[in-house]
Amino acid sequence: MEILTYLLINLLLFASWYALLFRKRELLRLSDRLAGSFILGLTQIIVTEMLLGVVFRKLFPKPLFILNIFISFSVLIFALSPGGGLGGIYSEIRDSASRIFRILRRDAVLSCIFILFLISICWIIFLGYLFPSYTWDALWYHLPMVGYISQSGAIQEIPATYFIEQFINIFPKNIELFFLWNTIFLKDDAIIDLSQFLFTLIGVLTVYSIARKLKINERSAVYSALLFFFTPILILQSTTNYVDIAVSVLFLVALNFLLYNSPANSNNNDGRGYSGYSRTPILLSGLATGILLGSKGSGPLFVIILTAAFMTQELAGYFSRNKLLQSTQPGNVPDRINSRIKDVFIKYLTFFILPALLLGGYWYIKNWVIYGSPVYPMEISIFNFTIFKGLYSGIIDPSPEVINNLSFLQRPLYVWQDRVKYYLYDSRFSGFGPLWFILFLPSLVFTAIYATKKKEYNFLFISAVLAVTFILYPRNWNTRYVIFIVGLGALSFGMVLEYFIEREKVLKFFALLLVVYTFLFSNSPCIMPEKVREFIHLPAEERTIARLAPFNLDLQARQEYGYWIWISKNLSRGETLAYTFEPLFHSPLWNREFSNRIVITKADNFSEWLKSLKEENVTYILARNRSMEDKWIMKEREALKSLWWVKGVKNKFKTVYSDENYKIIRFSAVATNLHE
Amino acid sequence: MKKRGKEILFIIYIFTVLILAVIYFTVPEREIFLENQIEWWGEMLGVLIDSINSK
Repeated sequence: MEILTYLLINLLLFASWYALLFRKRELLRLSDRLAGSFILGLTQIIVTEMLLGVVFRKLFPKPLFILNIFISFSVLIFALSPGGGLGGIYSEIRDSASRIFRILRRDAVLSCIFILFLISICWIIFLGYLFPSYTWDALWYHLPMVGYISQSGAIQEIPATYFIEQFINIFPKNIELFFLWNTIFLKDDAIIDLSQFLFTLIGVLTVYSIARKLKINERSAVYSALLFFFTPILILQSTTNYVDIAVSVLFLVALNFLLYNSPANSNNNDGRGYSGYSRTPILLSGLATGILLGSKGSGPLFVIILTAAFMTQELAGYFSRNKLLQSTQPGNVPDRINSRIKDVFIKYLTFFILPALLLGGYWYIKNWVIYGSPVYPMEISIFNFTIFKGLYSGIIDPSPEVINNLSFLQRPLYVWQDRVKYYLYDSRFSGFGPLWFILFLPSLVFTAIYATKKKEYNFLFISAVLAVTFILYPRNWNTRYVIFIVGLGALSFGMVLEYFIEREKVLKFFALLLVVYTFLFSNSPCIMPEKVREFIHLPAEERTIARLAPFNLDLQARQEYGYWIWISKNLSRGETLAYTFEPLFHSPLWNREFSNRIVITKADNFSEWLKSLKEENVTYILARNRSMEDKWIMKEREALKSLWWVKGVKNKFKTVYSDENYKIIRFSAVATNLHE
Repeated sequence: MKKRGKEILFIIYIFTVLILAVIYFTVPEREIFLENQIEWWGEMLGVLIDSINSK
């Protein structure tokens, strides 16, 4: 039933937006309508969850389902209203698919790359389904955000007793709302770690779409798109609850839709790829920017850059049109300028920045209201003048020594050589794989010169935006933050392939070799084949992090495994677990459904603590051995023992799990309380 | 003349690609990286063979 609900709501949600965008088929390419449907669907998910979670505090499966069904049906009815209709949807998809397959059939190398791509996506889906979310930041704060929203049905601040809880409060949560979407109906976290995989696919589609807008032929565009996929960090992060792929892909999507606004496309023969007076692509770009703004603390940087890109386009468009007008109809130039500026601002405010702020601005405004700064806890200063006060002036986690000793230019070059013993989802020293370093880097230099010479403005525009973002991004040597730059490399290679068409066999051969290398060697030591075999034979509820004991956190987490296993097996819906110390991760304190509650209970004395346990309806207590709480419980137990002769005396604390370090105690509020 | 220019460009491009390939594959960490990956695939092969045999 849960699976059916999940499939139904997703099918209806994305299909209704696709049907609506189908009305714009004269303007938007198929690939853009698919990406656009994803953006609109994601927007609907975020908006409905925010509405229920922030305003009504009723973010539970039923209201969420009903609200989305209502919206999606409304969209569908509008899409099918006069002037719309679905005639041709199937034939268009069939024709496009058969065209792509024709291209694949004629190109053996491309077919091989495509087969490897298909195998990779099957492998990603298989791993995502088989293994629990095991990555550090996912367990530390991405999934706890989902847990806290699930347990309260509200998007609200939690008591920030410990360091990480502060960050759980202040980080923007748009992508976590999508994680929540992928678990709330299923009542299971089995595919929550595949959420980013959808962004990977949209990224592939977007690179293809940008390539086509840059007038790269279809075959080379397919090469660009597939080669973009073969980036180790993209493959490895597709099965994690991080947000880096989502951020980079949303940036590429926003940029892709902005290309419709490019004056360089105004003389396209087929009329596609240029929006003219249509605002749809700008709106889609604004929505993608908004989701991006609310996905990561670095979101404002992307908004500023995309705004600058939008304004540059408008300025370029104005000058090119004005030049044309001046030559044909001389008139009052200042009036025309004023009216044009007004138009641009209305277009920017209404269709770009307003949707962007509505979708992503909430998190920053909330932080501003609660903590006095939209970017809290970061301190923002310019020339020794503090704009926003905060706790930290830079990234808290220090850079590795080897990176600090290198110059700004040397840092990425060092990392891009993949100077690692293995690839990992959070990269640090691992680069973008061999395709980037060996094929894409020289392609970038080559195409930059070529595009300047040939005045390929769209390519120069895309390159400038991506390069500036890369340069401005803090810690751009850490590849997971700047995955978008691989998109530029892939596009450059597509152009190189087209330029050297007579010699393309050599280039294709190199590309295939490096794809095979990436395909074979993008394995992380966190998932070893023996574990795959073990997990295949385990029932779903036994496939836990503790059982996986992943290499990335095993050393720090192995003493926690015991109680993690107990919680995942025993805590059910309606139970409340009170923790009394700072746990390594919050996430394993919830069961697979995120259906139990967790609360922190700390007090100065036993009576107060007992009171808080009752107030929070606690059913289980997680305590450290020999902690204050443990001592209180022991004392209470001893006291009860001495009252053996009193009839009806029952201990309210019953140990149900214990190991060397921790205890889980069943708490019964109705048992005798010696302190009352 | 134009074709010749293109040929020269192509040679420069391929030459750069080859130099970068040499740099990439000769970094000191590559040997351990490949050893780890070969170990991973060795384990994978064992798992596959075992699962075939068990059927």
